[in-house]
Amino acid sequence: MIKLQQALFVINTPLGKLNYAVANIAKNLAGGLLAIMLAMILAQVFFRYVLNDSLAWTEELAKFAMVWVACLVAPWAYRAHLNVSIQMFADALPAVLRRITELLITLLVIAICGIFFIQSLEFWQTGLSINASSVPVKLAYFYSCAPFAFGSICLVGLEKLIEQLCLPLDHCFAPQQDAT
Amino acid sequence: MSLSYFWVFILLLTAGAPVIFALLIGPGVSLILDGKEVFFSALLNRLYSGMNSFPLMAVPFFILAGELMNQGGITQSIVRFSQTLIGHYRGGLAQVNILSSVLFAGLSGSAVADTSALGKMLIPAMEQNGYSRRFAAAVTAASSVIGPIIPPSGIMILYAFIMNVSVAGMFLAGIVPGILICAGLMLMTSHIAKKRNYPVANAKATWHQRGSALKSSFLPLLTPVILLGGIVLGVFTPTEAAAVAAGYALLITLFVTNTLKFNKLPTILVNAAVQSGTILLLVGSAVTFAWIITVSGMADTLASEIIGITDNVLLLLLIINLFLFAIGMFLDAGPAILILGPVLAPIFITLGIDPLHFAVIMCVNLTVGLATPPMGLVLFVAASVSGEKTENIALEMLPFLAVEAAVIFLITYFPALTMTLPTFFGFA
Repeated sequence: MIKLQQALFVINTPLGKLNYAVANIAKNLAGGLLAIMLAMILAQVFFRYVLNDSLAWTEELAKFAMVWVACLVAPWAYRAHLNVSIQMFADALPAVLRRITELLITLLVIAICGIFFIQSLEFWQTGLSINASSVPVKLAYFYSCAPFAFGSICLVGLEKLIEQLCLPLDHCFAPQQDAT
Repeated sequence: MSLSYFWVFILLLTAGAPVIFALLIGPGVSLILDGKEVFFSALLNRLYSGMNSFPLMAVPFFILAGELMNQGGITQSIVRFSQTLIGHYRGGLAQVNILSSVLFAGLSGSAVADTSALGKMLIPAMEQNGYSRRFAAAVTAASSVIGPIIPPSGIMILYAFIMNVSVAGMFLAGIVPGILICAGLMLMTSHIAKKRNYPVANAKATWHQRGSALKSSFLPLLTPVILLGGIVLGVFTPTEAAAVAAGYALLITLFVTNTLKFNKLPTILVNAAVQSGTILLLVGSAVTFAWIITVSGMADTLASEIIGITDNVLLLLLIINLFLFAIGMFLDAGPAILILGPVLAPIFITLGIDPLHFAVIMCVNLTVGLATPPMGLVLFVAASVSGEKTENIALEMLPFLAVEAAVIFLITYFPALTMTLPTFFGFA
């Protein structure tokens, strides 16, 4: 069992580092994109009222930037437990049952995000042949945020799954080791 | 389509799964069980288009504006201004806390930001002045629910987006309920302060002192005026108004009050992006779930069940208020609005309730839920800021919750309280 635990830790350490790096870079990029969104919408207002000339591209690009912000933040939010959940009932469960529930939830998250990852690759492909309506840029550039979000959530899910598989081993062995 | 998605969703929610994933896994399981996997691409399309919306963009901008105001130290000048106005009454600091929440509501639109910013400053100050810590935390938590009721309001934007209701109309409709809650809380505080002999905060300020305090908080306090004025007069769309509010907050904190340093900006932007991204993903998932509810015919089934209880609209409103209050005890206002709005609103609109009126009832009710145990986000923040136990704060909050429940009752049965302003400005 301890060997299994060690093997899992060996896998999880680089995976955790990779997930942290990806999620951290992505959330910083999201902050930058938010600044760009703000600049675009303020420019839209400025051009309309001060220069009397409406910008056609700001609204569409700002919308795409917003979806990118959401997708870039996704792995960080999942990794840092920032998504809203109701823990009250789960906390009332016995430890073993709670651990099993957590494992099942993580498995389901990986499964659904895996399915959406595959779907989002097809979604991305549809964007290869279509330009955005206001700028000569393929929609695929904007749609690529979806595979990123689902792929990165799958990886974070895998990291969590391994962590959760290791935890019961800790709980089983640590007290015995302390006792001796 | 079978209703298995709904039960899977409820099961996952109670098992502690993040709401965003419960909203996606439920329909996913249903599609697999029904052998309709081809519709997964439709789910993804809904998820993407749910987030790709211009009106929704107001959410990140308001969050950014709130973060800028918070980090820019605007809280102190607002509290000082409130203190010069009402600090000389008995229980003055508690009253200052409530008034500051109202003024802060016009800047942040978030109950959590309000509790955190005002709590850090006022709870220790109240304790030093002889208030019990639990009372200080309870006043902070109870008054912070005014944040998302007085415009701007994050949850009202979410409701307006998902139910296609006018944002400006909702903002205007929220003003009177917000003021009513403020007045009710102040009266209750005054009663408690007299009973417990809480002190006055300071001697009555002179008009010169008030003018000086107003000077330092005047520009931040103009934010809701610019914002609401811009929207109501048709100068900006709500999204543009939110961007202007964020730009304005940036300008005054960086260059006028000089309370924000450039090197803090990246952190503020990243914080705002993380908060916004989390909400946007939730919105996308909720739109997907709402679509499944419609496609499966569950909304119609539920509507006929609810209408079947009684044909008395007033009684149905009471039942739905109790239901929402109970939901608010367990679920945050945002997800609750996104999930229940598309199910409940059409029922009451069919029964002749104005969409804007129902929208405000739902938003105010679920916002109050933020401060109710066992799952009240505001309550948790107040506990963390004050170091007091959540259950102690919850107990001390009971009189304030009674006030807020009374306001929900008033706005439910006296539609004029919410509808007069939007009707006057042509939004209803």
